[in-house]
Amino acid sequence: MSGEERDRIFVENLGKVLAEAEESTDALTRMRLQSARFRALEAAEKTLPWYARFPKLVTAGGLATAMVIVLAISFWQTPDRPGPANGQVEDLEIMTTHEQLELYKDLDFYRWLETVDNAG
Amino acid sequence: MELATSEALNRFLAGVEVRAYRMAEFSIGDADEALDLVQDAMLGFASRYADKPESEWNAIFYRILQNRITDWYRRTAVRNKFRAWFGNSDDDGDGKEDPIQTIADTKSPDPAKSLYHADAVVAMKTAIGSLPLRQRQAFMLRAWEGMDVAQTACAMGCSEGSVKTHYSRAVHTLRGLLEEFKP
Repeated sequence: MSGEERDRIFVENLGKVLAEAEESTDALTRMRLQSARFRALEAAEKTLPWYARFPKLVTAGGLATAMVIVLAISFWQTPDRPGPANGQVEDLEIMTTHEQLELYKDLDFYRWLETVDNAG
Repeated sequence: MELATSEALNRFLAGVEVRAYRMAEFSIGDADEALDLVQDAMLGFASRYADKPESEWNAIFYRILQNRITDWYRRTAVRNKFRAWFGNSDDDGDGKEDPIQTIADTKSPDPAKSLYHADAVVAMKTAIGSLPLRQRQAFMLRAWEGMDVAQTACAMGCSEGSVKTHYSRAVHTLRGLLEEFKP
């Protein structure tokens, strides 16, 4: 038997005793280890930010999809805005023209003058 | 944390906790301190490394545990120095036996086998305890946890060459100390 083979068997023998020592661990110690494990899992939950507690698909792709859907619905639901009426456009034109403001103020006078001229 | 990850983490820790505890106990020779170290390692692992791939968990967990054990040795060495300066080398001092230790163990059906097993464990614990820390770590991770050289190197935070050297020396020393386990 080679030295390497002897070492392997020797280590295997030691490993068996170590495994038996592991199996013979008493119930109280196992319970304390279980309790420690639960505390560790609880601590791991608490250390994560709130958004990390959601599934990753929801946090990344899910949120992006939700945003697209909300935008699409909002565009779809919004009623078409009515275009400006013709009359309103004319009023706008009058209001924005500073030069002829006097003319429009005395429009009734000029209409009367026109009827008088036509009659005469 | 995802539910699936949490369940996987629970399964992983449940699978390693007893062995990790026994390793720590073999390393430092104190059951309560070993339990604290394992708890600390589990907390550190679950808080910071749960998002790593599951295939890496074993090496990472044992690396944390080995670091905790090394830290424990450092702290103990410093504490012992202070005790030596102040002339107080024994915490208990009263020399009284723990009453729990005197209660008969009724769990084992075969006392002769139990005695042999207990003797073997004590002998091995003493032998492993006499090894230098790094040799002890290399031996336990390879012989007990069944890690290969690369995984052991990762868990110990050293090169594969160092692992081979530590392990070889550990086996050589143990062969001299534990004659009854020789083939």
